[in-house]
Amino acid sequence: MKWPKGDGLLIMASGLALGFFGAALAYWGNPANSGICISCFTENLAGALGLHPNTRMAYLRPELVGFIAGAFLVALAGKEFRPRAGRLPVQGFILGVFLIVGSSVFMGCPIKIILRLGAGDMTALAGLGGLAAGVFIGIRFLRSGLDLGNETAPSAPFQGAIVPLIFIALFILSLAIPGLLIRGETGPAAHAAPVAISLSAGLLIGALAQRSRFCVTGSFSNLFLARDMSLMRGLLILLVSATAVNIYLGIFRMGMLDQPGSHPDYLWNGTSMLLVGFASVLAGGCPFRQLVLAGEGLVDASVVIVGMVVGGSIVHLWQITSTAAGPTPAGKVAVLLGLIYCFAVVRFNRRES
Amino acid sequence: MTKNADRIAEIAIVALLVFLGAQFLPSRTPTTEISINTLAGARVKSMDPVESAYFKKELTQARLVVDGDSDAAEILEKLKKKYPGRHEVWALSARFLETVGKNQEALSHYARAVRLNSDYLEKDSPIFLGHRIKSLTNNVLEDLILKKRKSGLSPEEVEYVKIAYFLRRRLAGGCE
Repeated sequence: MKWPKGDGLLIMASGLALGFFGAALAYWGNPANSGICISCFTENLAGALGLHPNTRMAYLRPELVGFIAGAFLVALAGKEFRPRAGRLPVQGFILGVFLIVGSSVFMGCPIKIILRLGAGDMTALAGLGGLAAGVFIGIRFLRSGLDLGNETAPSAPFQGAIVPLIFIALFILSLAIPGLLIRGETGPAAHAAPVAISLSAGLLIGALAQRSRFCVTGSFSNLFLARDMSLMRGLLILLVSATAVNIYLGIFRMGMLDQPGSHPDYLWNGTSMLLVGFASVLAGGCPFRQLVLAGEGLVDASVVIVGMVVGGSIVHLWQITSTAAGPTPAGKVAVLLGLIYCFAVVRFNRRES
Repeated sequence: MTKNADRIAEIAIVALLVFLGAQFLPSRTPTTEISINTLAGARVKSMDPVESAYFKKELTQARLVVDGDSDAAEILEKLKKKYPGRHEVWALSARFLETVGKNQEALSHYARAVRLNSDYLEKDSPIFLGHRIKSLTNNVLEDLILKKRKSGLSPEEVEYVKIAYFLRRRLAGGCE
């Protein structure tokens, strides 16, 4: 076996950092099995901005700021900050909304699927299957000829920096002016690792992911498209490291019925993640990858992130988000609408040949 | 060839959407007052100030009756029908059911209260009932598992098992 070099090592380091901190942050104070979860953190951000009334999910997570700021700073340092845009913005915005809709019905983003599996939560297997199927469907349509725009077209430099700078400014302001953002005192918002640790972990992971181009849905799409295992290795290391840390910390609990932050409706676990996988392919990456891409100046990813924040708001306003009892009727309808939307994107963006 | 594949994919997609849409049809009549599906769909109902004042008055009266242990069941039934979106009613009803030994029903009522207000499981909350709910959940689940091994479970009891596991998932924490 050849020892991976360069990018391969960076991908493995990204997986290792995500797995280690994903498990350890839950031990240090974040909600159980949610050491890192982009959809939960985005819902927290929407709550902190007062975009939904559920104060139990209202907190600007330093990790979220760290991911985008880490990628932004490393991209600037490595001269890889290239403001560019070219995809269809409204389409991307709605895809961002549905990324969070699907994740909230599953109760976690693609990274959390792996972290939940690493904590022994076998209900996440349905989500993993759904995610892989969604990516497969998306790739199938991409190969048959889709014109989603040209994301390499250069854009005005400031455009690419707006969203990363807003995240950084919000974090600084929240420290400087206590009470500016809403912070829930009970529920998941009250469960948080120390700020310094959360921010450092976020910066490190954001920086590594920018260098390595790590992406959960990208791991599957590279495998399906080109039989390329490099990103998938990072994903496997994420799973192995999270499992090892959970076992070491004594928080590994194998089972299906009483896992934290989960529900046992496997059909909707799978279907909601099918939506996330499909939407991720159409948007150009999983929710985590969107943060990193926005950090390196991709305006299209910034638009998707704005859509994700709006999604984080509506899943609580319209009771779309699932609970431990299972998915809500509104959640099921929203997932179906999301799938119909993704198919509509495919239908109306076919390349004429 | 590609056209045929596309047609098959489109048919498969429509079939998938129809199948998922069929999930909304009611599958069977609920066997218990509170089922896992009613928990999933439970909603908090906001009140105007006048309704809220009436509610508080009626709740206080119900508390006095429950503590005095007379005719509580009837009063609580009325309150549940009138204020299904209020967690206080379900928690009070659960407390009453627990004191009269109806543990399974009590558990389902606690579940409904927790679904409407998760502060019942928050250690720092003034309404924290986590230890009480945890102990009741474990007892009910233990009894039901024993019964399952001996003679199997009725549909009602299967629903209580689901509710018990709902509470265990909530007690385990995590994001909501």
